[in-house]
Amino acid sequence: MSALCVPVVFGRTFDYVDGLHLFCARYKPETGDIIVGRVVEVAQKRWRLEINSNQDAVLMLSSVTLPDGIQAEVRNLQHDGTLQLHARSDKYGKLERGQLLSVPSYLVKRRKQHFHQLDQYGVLLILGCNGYVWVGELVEAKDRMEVDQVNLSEEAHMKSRSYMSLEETEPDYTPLETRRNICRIANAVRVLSILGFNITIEVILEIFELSISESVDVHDMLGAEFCVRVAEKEADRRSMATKRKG
Amino acid sequence: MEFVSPEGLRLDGRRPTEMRQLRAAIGAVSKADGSAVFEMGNTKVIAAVYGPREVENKAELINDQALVRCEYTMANFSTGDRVRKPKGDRRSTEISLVIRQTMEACIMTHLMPRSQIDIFVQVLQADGGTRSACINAATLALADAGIPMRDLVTSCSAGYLNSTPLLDLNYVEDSAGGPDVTVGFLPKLDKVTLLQMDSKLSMDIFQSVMQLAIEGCKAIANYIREVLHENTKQLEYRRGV
Repeated sequence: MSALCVPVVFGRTFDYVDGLHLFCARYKPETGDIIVGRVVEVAQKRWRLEINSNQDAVLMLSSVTLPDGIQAEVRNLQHDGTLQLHARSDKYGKLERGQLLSVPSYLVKRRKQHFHQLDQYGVLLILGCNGYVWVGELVEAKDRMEVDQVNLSEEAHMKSRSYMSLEETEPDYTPLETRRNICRIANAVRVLSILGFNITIEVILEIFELSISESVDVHDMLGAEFCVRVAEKEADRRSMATKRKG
Repeated sequence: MEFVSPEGLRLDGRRPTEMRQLRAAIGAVSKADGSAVFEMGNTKVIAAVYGPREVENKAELINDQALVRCEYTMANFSTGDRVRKPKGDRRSTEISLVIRQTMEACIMTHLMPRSQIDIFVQVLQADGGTRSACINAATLALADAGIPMRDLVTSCSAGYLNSTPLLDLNYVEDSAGGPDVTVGFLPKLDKVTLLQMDSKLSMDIFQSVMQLAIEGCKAIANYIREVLHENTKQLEYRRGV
């Protein structure tokens, strides 16, 4: 198996194989990936984001305001490995009211969809390619646009203050039911990461539903009992899949 | 003192060319990128690897390769009598340096420019051969972290007591004051990356002792490879590929 981090010998020279990064703990950036990062440094014109990679990424300042968890797309990879991000479109930006999880990056597959607006639960779920997963309250897109406009109209040094005033005017709480849903989905992701299963939206929702149908409390979801149930479910699913193939 | 009985057995019942029992487990530290516990008989070492990640101290940044750092500590409870050693004494600084140099030689640092890799090793139980156990544990942890390496570097010690070459010395044999050769070895490249010796040996005896240590390294490499294969298989199976 080439997935071991041992180079394969080709003739007399040494080369390394693609499989090398199969179980690599760190994220290997590629252009176009959607990632979630944490702001670690704020400079005049750019932000430095911690993205679980070899180096921190650079985000040139755009319409987002305060340091926190943030979501962006990999724009280009410079030769020395420095990473540049962009968050131009209004679907990217600062994330608030939720929790950031970190899972091994190899469990998150690159897909077309990484944002999932789960309207029925009022939850926004973002599976970042770098292994950071955001679970937060679903804020209406309209609200966010307004926030952006207000911020753009303000002067740069006024930004923090304008943000403060916004916080005061907006209802700054999340309904209890939504918070429960956020925790439940976050724990579903945690269970998957403990068991080492691939993390996809379908499986997360399946576990979410399983926990509700078996009336497992949020805090019991990480217990061994529920893990076993999830593993059994996964085994069932796989045997079904192989049967269908056969 | 008699270290090899007339029947050809050592103090702990081993034959002269027999190694202590090996045991290895991957993934001991959940927050680390890679971690491992490695045991050689009663010697037990835990290793954790963080990185490659952003360089903490910008002055240490290297433009074309990764910076490797290593810290070796000995737990207070690791030896027979509980002693509180100050951090950074001569012995641990020296071993940190040895481990760092050995690991740096096998990590492909040029693939990870402008980043930093931290290796932390701690001795939980000391019964001779901590140096070797630390290097083996660090290798496993690096492999677990998915850091590209030229080869799995392994290490083993050998000594010469009662005019017999002995493999993998334990504490009693180590403190007898005889020659103690520690070898770091790249089994696939067939190269020695580390060689240390206490006291003196004649050339021809040295060769046989070193050969014995190299054989030990090869055996350890086989074991480590097996453990890694098993671990990867399990990860692969869990992911359902």
